[in-house]
Amino acid sequence: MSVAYRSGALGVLALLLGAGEVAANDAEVRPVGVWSCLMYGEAGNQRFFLELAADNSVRMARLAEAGDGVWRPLGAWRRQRGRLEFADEANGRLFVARLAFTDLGGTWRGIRDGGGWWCAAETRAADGAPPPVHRLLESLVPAIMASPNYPLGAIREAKEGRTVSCFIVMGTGEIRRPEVIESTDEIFRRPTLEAVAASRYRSWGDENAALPACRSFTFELGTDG
Amino acid sequence: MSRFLLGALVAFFAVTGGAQPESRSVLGERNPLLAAGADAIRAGRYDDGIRLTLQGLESETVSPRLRSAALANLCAAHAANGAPDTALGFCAESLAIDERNWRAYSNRAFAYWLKEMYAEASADIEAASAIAPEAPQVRQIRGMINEKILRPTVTMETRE
Repeated sequence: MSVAYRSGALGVLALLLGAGEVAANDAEVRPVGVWSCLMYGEAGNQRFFLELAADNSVRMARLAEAGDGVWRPLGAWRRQRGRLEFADEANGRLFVARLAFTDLGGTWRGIRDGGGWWCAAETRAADGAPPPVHRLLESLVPAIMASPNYPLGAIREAKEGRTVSCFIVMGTGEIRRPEVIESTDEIFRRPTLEAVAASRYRSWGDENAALPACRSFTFELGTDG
Repeated sequence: MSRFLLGALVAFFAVTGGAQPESRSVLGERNPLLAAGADAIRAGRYDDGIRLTLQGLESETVSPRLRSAALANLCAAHAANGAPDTALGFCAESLAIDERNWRAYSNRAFAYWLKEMYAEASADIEAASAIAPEAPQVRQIRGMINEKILRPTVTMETRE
Protein backbone atom coordinates (compact mmCIF):
# COMPACT_ATOMS: atom_id res chain seq x y z
CA MET A 1 0.00 0.00 0.00
CA SER A 2 1.43 3.36 -0.95
CA VAL A 3 1.75 6.08 1.64
CA ALA A 4 -0.67 8.28 -0.24
CA TYR A 5 -3.25 5.52 -0.45
CA ARG A 6 -2.82 4.63 3.21
CA SER A 7 -3.23 8.25 4.20
CA GLY A 8 -6.39 8.51 2.12
CA ALA A 9 -7.77 5.30 3.59
CA LEU A 10 -7.11 6.51 7.12
CA GLY A 11 -8.85 9.74 6.30
CA VAL A 12 -11.91 7.86 5.10
CA LEU A 13 -11.77 5.67 8.19
CA ALA A 14 -11.61 8.74 10.40
CA LEU A 15 -14.62 10.18 8.65
CA LEU A 16 -16.52 6.93 9.00
CA LEU A 17 -15.72 6.68 12.67
CA GLY A 18 -17.24 10.09 13.12
CA ALA A 19 -20.48 8.96 11.59
CA GLY A 20 -23.40 7.68 13.60
CA GLU A 21 -22.64 4.07 14.33
CA VAL A 22 -25.06 1.25 14.28
CA ALA A 23 -24.33 -1.54 16.68
CA ALA A 24 -23.39 -4.68 14.81
CA ASN A 25 -24.59 -7.29 17.26
CA ASP A 26 -28.13 -6.25 18.14
CA ALA A 27 -26.81 -4.16 21.01
CA GLU A 28 -28.34 -0.76 21.57
CA VAL A 29 -27.72 2.00 19.06
CA ARG A 30 -24.72 4.24 19.69
CA PRO A 31 -26.14 7.70 19.25
CA VAL A 32 -23.03 9.86 18.90
CA GLY A 33 -22.56 10.95 15.32
CA VAL A 34 -24.31 12.59 12.40
CA TRP A 35 -27.66 11.31 11.23
CA SER A 36 -29.96 11.84 8.32
CA CYS A 37 -33.44 11.84 9.82
CA LEU A 38 -37.09 11.81 8.96
CA MET A 39 -39.74 13.27 11.22
CA TYR A 40 -43.42 12.59 10.64
CA GLY A 41 -46.57 13.85 12.25
CA GLU A 42 -50.00 15.19 11.52
CA ALA A 43 -48.49 18.23 9.82
CA GLY A 44 -46.55 16.07 7.39
CA ASN A 45 -43.05 14.75 6.96
CA GLN A 46 -39.78 16.58 7.28
CA ARG A 47 -36.20 15.57 6.71
CA PHE A 48 -33.30 17.00 8.66
CA PHE A 49 -29.78 16.29 9.77
CA LEU A 50 -29.03 15.63 13.40
CA GLU A 51 -25.72 15.63 15.19
CA LEU A 52 -25.36 14.13 18.65
CA ALA A 53 -21.95 14.85 20.15
CA ALA A 54 -20.03 13.01 22.83
CA ASP A 55 -20.36 16.07 25.09
CA ASN A 56 -24.17 15.57 24.91
CA SER A 57 -24.77 18.58 22.70
CA VAL A 58 -27.28 18.25 19.90
CA ARG A 59 -27.50 20.15 16.64
CA MET A 60 -30.11 20.04 13.93
CA ALA A 61 -30.08 21.27 10.35
CA ARG A 62 -33.31 21.34 8.42
CA LEU A 63 -33.47 22.08 4.72
CA ALA A 64 -32.87 25.83 4.92
CA GLU A 65 -30.15 25.51 7.53
CA ALA A 66 -28.41 22.70 5.68
CA GLY A 67 -28.57 24.85 2.54
CA ASP A 68 -26.79 27.60 4.44
CA GLY A 69 -24.33 25.08 5.85
CA VAL A 70 -25.21 25.83 9.47
CA TRP A 71 -26.41 23.83 12.44
CA ARG A 72 -29.02 24.96 14.96
CA PRO A 73 -28.30 23.95 18.53
CA LEU A 74 -30.91 22.01 20.53
CA GLY A 75 -31.03 20.97 24.17
CA ALA A 76 -28.53 18.41 25.42
CA TRP A 77 -29.26 14.72 24.99
CA ARG A 78 -29.37 12.36 27.92
CA ARG A 79 -29.91 8.68 28.50
CA GLN A 80 -32.69 7.63 30.80
CA ARG A 81 -34.01 4.11 31.42
CA GLY A 82 -33.08 2.72 28.03
CA ARG A 83 -34.17 5.84 26.26
CA LEU A 84 -32.44 8.86 24.82
CA GLU A 85 -34.10 12.25 25.08
CA PHE A 86 -33.46 15.75 23.85
CA ALA A 87 -35.60 18.84 23.43
CA ASP A 88 -36.15 21.23 20.57
CA GLU A 89 -37.28 24.07 22.77
CA ALA A 90 -37.75 26.54 19.93
CA ASN A 91 -40.48 24.32 18.50
CA GLY A 92 -41.69 22.91 21.81
CA ARG A 93 -40.84 19.32 20.96
CA LEU A 94 -39.38 16.50 23.00
CA PHE A 95 -37.65 13.75 21.02
CA VAL A 96 -37.41 10.32 22.59
CA ALA A 97 -35.47 7.42 21.10
CA ARG A 98 -35.54 3.84 22.25
CA LEU A 99 -31.95 2.75 22.55
CA ALA A 100 -32.95 -0.87 22.04
CA PHE A 101 -33.66 -0.08 18.40
CA THR A 102 -30.89 -0.88 15.95
CA ASP A 103 -31.14 2.59 14.41
CA LEU A 104 -31.72 5.95 16.05
CA GLY A 105 -35.34 6.99 16.33
CA GLY A 106 -38.57 6.84 18.22
CA THR A 107 -41.32 9.31 18.92
CA TRP A 108 -41.63 13.05 19.48
CA ARG A 109 -44.20 15.03 21.38
CA GLY A 110 -45.17 18.66 20.94
CA ILE A 111 -47.65 20.78 22.85
CA ARG A 112 -50.52 19.91 20.56
CA ASP A 113 -49.19 17.19 18.32
CA GLY A 114 -46.77 14.33 18.05
CA GLY A 115 -45.34 11.74 15.75
CA GLY A 116 -42.26 9.69 15.10
CA TRP A 117 -38.75 10.09 13.82
CA TRP A 118 -36.16 7.78 12.36
CA CYS A 119 -32.54 8.26 11.34
CA ALA A 120 -29.89 6.67 9.15
CA ALA A 121 -26.24 7.03 9.96
CA GLU A 122 -24.70 9.80 7.88
CA THR A 123 -21.08 10.54 7.11
CA ARG A 124 -19.74 13.49 9.08
CA ALA A 125 -18.46 16.30 6.85
CA ALA A 126 -14.78 17.05 7.24
CA ASP A 127 -15.42 20.69 8.10
CA GLY A 128 -18.06 19.92 10.71
CA ALA A 129 -20.80 21.49 8.60
CA PRO A 130 -24.05 19.63 7.90
CA PRO A 131 -23.87 17.07 5.10
CA PRO A 132 -24.75 18.25 1.58
CA VAL A 133 -28.29 19.52 1.39
CA HIS A 134 -29.12 17.33 -1.60
CA ARG A 135 -29.15 14.38 0.78
CA LEU A 136 -32.36 15.81 2.26
CA LEU A 137 -33.93 16.06 -1.17
CA GLU A 138 -33.46 12.50 -2.37
CA SER A 139 -36.80 11.05 -3.36
CA LEU A 140 -37.61 7.46 -2.60
CA VAL A 141 -39.80 5.74 -5.16
CA PRO A 142 -41.46 2.52 -4.03
CA ALA A 143 -40.95 -0.43 -6.36
CA ILE A 144 -42.84 -3.07 -4.40
CA MET A 145 -45.37 -2.08 -1.77
CA ALA A 146 -46.41 -5.23 0.08
CA SER A 147 -49.57 -4.96 2.10
CA PRO A 148 -49.85 -6.72 5.46
CA ASN A 149 -52.17 -9.65 5.89
CA TYR A 150 -54.90 -8.85 8.35
CA PRO A 151 -54.27 -11.34 11.18
CA LEU A 152 -57.05 -13.91 11.41
CA GLY A 153 -56.95 -13.67 15.19
CA ALA A 154 -57.62 -9.94 14.94
CA ILE A 155 -60.59 -10.51 12.64
CA ARG A 156 -62.02 -13.09 15.01
CA GLU A 157 -61.64 -10.71 17.94
CA ALA A 158 -62.84 -7.74 15.83
CA LYS A 159 -59.65 -5.86 16.53
CA GLU A 160 -58.71 -2.76 14.56
CA GLY A 161 -55.48 -0.88 14.97
CA ARG A 162 -52.60 1.07 13.60
CA THR A 163 -48.87 0.52 13.32
CA VAL A 164 -45.93 2.53 12.11
CA SER A 165 -42.79 0.85 10.92
CA CYS A 166 -39.57 2.70 10.25
CA PHE A 167 -36.58 1.34 8.41
CA ILE A 168 -33.52 2.19 6.38
CA VAL A 169 -33.61 2.31 2.59
CA MET A 170 -30.25 1.55 1.05
CA GLY A 171 -29.17 3.17 -2.20
CA THR A 172 -29.92 -0.11 -3.95
CA GLY A 173 -33.54 0.19 -2.87
CA GLU A 174 -33.32 -2.60 -0.32
CA ILE A 175 -35.06 -2.17 3.01
CA ARG A 176 -32.98 -2.88 6.09
CA ARG A 177 -33.67 -3.22 9.79
CA PRO A 178 -37.42 -2.51 9.93
CA GLU A 179 -38.76 -1.77 13.40
CA VAL A 180 -42.27 -1.14 14.65
CA ILE A 181 -42.20 2.17 16.49
CA GLU A 182 -45.93 2.56 17.08
CA SER A 183 -48.48 -0.18 17.53
CA THR A 184 -51.91 -0.14 19.07
CA ASP A 185 -51.84 -3.92 19.50
CA GLU A 186 -49.08 -6.50 19.38
CA ILE A 187 -51.16 -8.68 17.06
CA PHE A 188 -50.38 -6.29 14.19
CA ARG A 189 -46.61 -6.23 14.70
CA ARG A 190 -45.69 -9.36 12.80
CA PRO A 191 -47.73 -8.71 9.63
CA THR A 192 -46.41 -5.15 9.61
CA LEU A 193 -42.80 -6.29 9.69
CA GLU A 194 -43.46 -9.01 7.11
CA ALA A 195 -45.01 -6.49 4.72
CA VAL A 196 -42.16 -4.04 5.11
CA ALA A 197 -39.58 -6.77 4.66
CA ALA A 198 -41.28 -7.84 1.43
CA SER A 199 -41.21 -4.29 0.03
CA ARG A 200 -38.46 -2.44 -1.75
CA TYR A 201 -37.68 0.86 -3.43
CA ARG A 202 -36.19 1.78 -6.74
CA SER A 203 -32.45 2.19 -6.68
CA TRP A 204 -31.56 5.78 -5.87
CA GLY A 205 -27.86 5.74 -5.00
CA ASP A 206 -24.87 3.56 -4.32
CA GLU A 207 -24.88 0.60 -2.00
CA ASN A 208 -23.44 2.58 0.90
CA ALA A 209 -26.08 5.30 0.79
CA ALA A 210 -28.90 5.06 3.31
CA LEU A 211 -32.05 7.03 4.05
CA PRO A 212 -34.68 6.63 6.74
CA ALA A 213 -38.30 6.00 5.82
CA CYS A 214 -41.47 5.01 7.62
CA ARG A 215 -44.83 3.55 6.71
CA SER A 216 -48.04 3.63 8.67
CA PHE A 217 -50.64 0.90 8.41
CA THR A 218 -54.25 1.26 9.48
CA PHE A 219 -56.07 -2.03 10.07
CA GLU A 220 -59.83 -1.61 9.82
CA LEU A 221 -62.84 -3.90 9.71
CA GLY A 222 -66.03 -3.16 7.88
CA THR A 223 -69.22 -4.98 7.09
CA ASP A 224 -71.04 -5.46 3.82
CA GLY A 225 -74.12 -3.75 5.14
CA MET B 1 -63.83 -26.20 8.91
CA SER B 2 -64.47 -29.91 8.94
CA ARG B 3 -67.73 -31.34 10.23
CA PHE B 4 -65.78 -33.19 12.87
CA LEU B 5 -64.36 -29.98 14.26
CA LEU B 6 -67.71 -28.23 14.15
CA GLY B 7 -69.27 -31.12 15.97
CA ALA B 8 -66.58 -31.14 18.60
CA LEU B 9 -67.07 -27.43 19.16
CA VAL B 10 -70.80 -27.67 19.68
CA ALA B 11 -70.76 -30.82 21.75
CA PHE B 12 -68.14 -29.43 24.02
CA PHE B 13 -70.22 -26.53 25.19
CA ALA B 14 -73.53 -28.27 25.03
CA VAL B 15 -73.18 -30.82 27.75
CA THR B 16 -71.25 -29.33 30.61
CA GLY B 17 -73.34 -28.04 33.44
CA GLY B 18 -71.31 -25.10 34.72
CA ALA B 19 -74.13 -22.63 34.85
CA GLN B 20 -76.72 -25.14 35.87
CA PRO B 21 -77.72 -25.75 39.48
CA GLU B 22 -77.58 -29.55 39.15
CA SER B 23 -74.16 -31.01 39.74
CA ARG B 24 -72.86 -33.71 37.42
CA SER B 25 -73.26 -36.40 40.11
CA VAL B 26 -76.83 -35.43 40.96
CA LEU B 27 -77.66 -35.42 37.25
CA GLY B 28 -76.21 -38.92 36.96
CA GLU B 29 -78.15 -40.30 39.93
CA ARG B 30 -81.53 -38.78 39.20
CA ASN B 31 -81.43 -38.60 35.44
CA PRO B 32 -79.28 -41.45 34.16
CA LEU B 33 -80.61 -41.23 30.61
CA LEU B 34 -80.03 -37.49 30.33
CA ALA B 35 -76.56 -37.93 31.82
CA ALA B 36 -75.77 -40.73 29.39
CA GLY B 37 -77.11 -38.62 26.53
CA ALA B 38 -74.91 -35.71 27.55
CA ASP B 39 -71.90 -38.02 27.77
CA ALA B 40 -72.64 -39.42 24.31
CA ILE B 41 -72.90 -35.95 22.82
CA ARG B 42 -69.68 -34.98 24.55
CA ALA B 43 -68.04 -38.03 23.00
CA GLY B 44 -69.28 -37.10 19.54
CA ARG B 45 -71.86 -39.92 19.37
CA TYR B 46 -74.62 -37.55 18.42
CA ASP B 47 -77.24 -40.06 17.33
CA ASP B 48 -76.88 -41.96 20.60
CA GLY B 49 -76.92 -38.69 22.50
CA ILE B 50 -80.09 -37.55 20.81
CA ARG B 51 -81.82 -40.89 21.43
CA LEU B 52 -80.83 -41.05 25.09
CA THR B 53 -81.72 -37.43 25.76
CA LEU B 54 -85.14 -37.81 24.17
CA GLN B 55 -85.75 -40.95 26.24
CA GLY B 56 -84.65 -39.14 29.35
CA LEU B 57 -86.99 -36.23 28.70
CA GLU B 58 -89.87 -38.68 28.28
CA SER B 59 -89.22 -40.95 31.22
CA GLU B 60 -87.32 -38.96 33.85
CA THR B 61 -88.51 -36.27 36.17
CA VAL B 62 -86.72 -33.07 35.28
CA SER B 63 -86.88 -29.53 36.53
CA PRO B 64 -87.68 -26.82 33.98
CA ARG B 65 -84.08 -25.69 34.06
CA LEU B 66 -82.75 -29.17 33.40
CA ARG B 67 -85.31 -29.63 30.62
CA SER B 68 -84.05 -26.43 29.05
CA ALA B 69 -80.46 -27.72 29.31
CA ALA B 70 -81.40 -31.04 27.75
CA LEU B 71 -83.19 -29.32 24.88
CA ALA B 72 -80.12 -27.14 24.36
CA ASN B 73 -78.09 -30.34 24.17
CA LEU B 74 -80.43 -31.70 21.53
CA CYS B 75 -80.01 -28.44 19.64
CA ALA B 76 -76.23 -28.80 19.83
CA ALA B 77 -76.27 -32.43 18.77
CA HIS B 78 -78.44 -31.77 15.74
CA ALA B 79 -76.31 -28.80 14.74
CA ALA B 80 -73.20 -30.92 15.06
CA ASN B 81 -74.92 -33.58 12.98
CA GLY B 82 -75.38 -31.04 10.19
CA ALA B 83 -79.10 -30.53 10.78
CA PRO B 84 -79.34 -26.87 11.78
CA ASP B 85 -83.04 -26.56 11.00
CA THR B 86 -83.89 -29.31 13.48
CA ALA B 87 -81.43 -27.78 15.93
CA LEU B 88 -83.16 -24.40 15.78
CA GLY B 89 -86.44 -25.91 16.94
CA PHE B 90 -84.85 -27.45 20.03
CA CYS B 91 -83.03 -24.25 20.88
CA ALA B 92 -86.25 -22.28 20.60
CA GLU B 93 -87.96 -24.76 22.94
CA SER B 94 -85.06 -24.51 25.36
CA LEU B 95 -85.21 -20.73 25.43
CA ALA B 96 -88.97 -20.73 25.83
CA ILE B 97 -88.42 -22.55 29.13
CA ASP B 98 -85.35 -20.65 30.30
CA GLU B 99 -84.59 -17.39 28.55
CA ARG B 100 -81.34 -17.09 30.54
CA ASN B 101 -79.85 -20.30 29.07
CA TRP B 102 -76.77 -18.90 27.41
CA ARG B 103 -75.84 -22.32 25.99
CA ALA B 104 -79.07 -22.39 24.03
CA TYR B 105 -78.32 -18.94 22.62
CA SER B 106 -74.80 -20.02 21.79
CA ASN B 107 -75.93 -23.28 20.20
CA ARG B 108 -78.57 -21.47 18.21
CA ALA B 109 -75.95 -18.96 17.07
CA PHE B 110 -73.92 -21.90 15.81
CA ALA B 111 -76.94 -23.34 13.99
CA TYR B 112 -77.55 -19.97 12.34
CA TRP B 113 -73.87 -19.82 11.44
CA LEU B 114 -74.22 -23.18 9.69
CA LYS B 115 -77.12 -21.74 7.71
CA GLU B 116 -75.03 -18.64 6.90
CA MET B 117 -77.62 -16.49 8.69
CA TYR B 118 -74.97 -14.30 10.26
CA ALA B 119 -77.19 -11.45 11.47
CA GLU B 120 -79.27 -13.90 13.49
CA ALA B 121 -76.13 -15.65 14.68
CA SER B 122 -74.68 -12.31 15.82
CA ALA B 123 -77.83 -11.42 17.73
CA ASP B 124 -77.81 -14.75 19.55
CA ILE B 125 -74.13 -14.65 20.39
CA GLU B 126 -74.63 -11.16 21.82
CA ALA B 127 -77.43 -12.53 23.98
CA ALA B 128 -75.20 -15.38 25.14
CA SER B 129 -72.37 -12.97 25.81
CA ALA B 130 -74.59 -10.73 27.91
CA ILE B 131 -75.27 -13.69 30.21
CA ALA B 132 -71.89 -15.44 30.10
CA PRO B 133 -69.35 -12.93 28.80
CA GLU B 134 -66.33 -15.01 29.77
CA ALA B 135 -67.47 -18.32 28.31
CA PRO B 136 -64.79 -19.56 25.88
CA GLN B 137 -67.44 -21.15 23.68
CA VAL B 138 -69.16 -17.80 23.22
CA ARG B 139 -65.89 -16.18 22.20
CA GLN B 140 -65.21 -19.03 19.76
CA ILE B 141 -68.58 -18.73 18.05
CA ARG B 142 -68.31 -14.96 17.95
CA GLY B 143 -64.90 -15.33 16.31
CA MET B 144 -66.34 -17.67 13.69
CA ILE B 145 -69.10 -15.16 12.95
CA ASN B 146 -66.65 -12.26 12.78
CA GLU B 147 -64.54 -14.23 10.34
CA LYS B 148 -67.53 -14.44 8.02
CA ILE B 149 -69.02 -10.97 8.34
CA LEU B 150 -66.10 -8.61 8.84
CA ARG B 151 -64.27 -7.26 5.82
CA PRO B 152 -60.67 -6.39 6.66
CA THR B 153 -58.82 -3.57 4.96
CA VAL B 154 -55.32 -2.27 5.49
CA THR B 155 -54.52 1.29 4.48
CA MET B 156 -50.90 2.12 3.98
CA GLU B 157 -49.29 5.55 4.08
CA THR B 158 -45.69 6.22 3.25
CA ARG B 159 -43.61 8.61 5.33
CA GLU B 160 -40.61 9.57 3.33
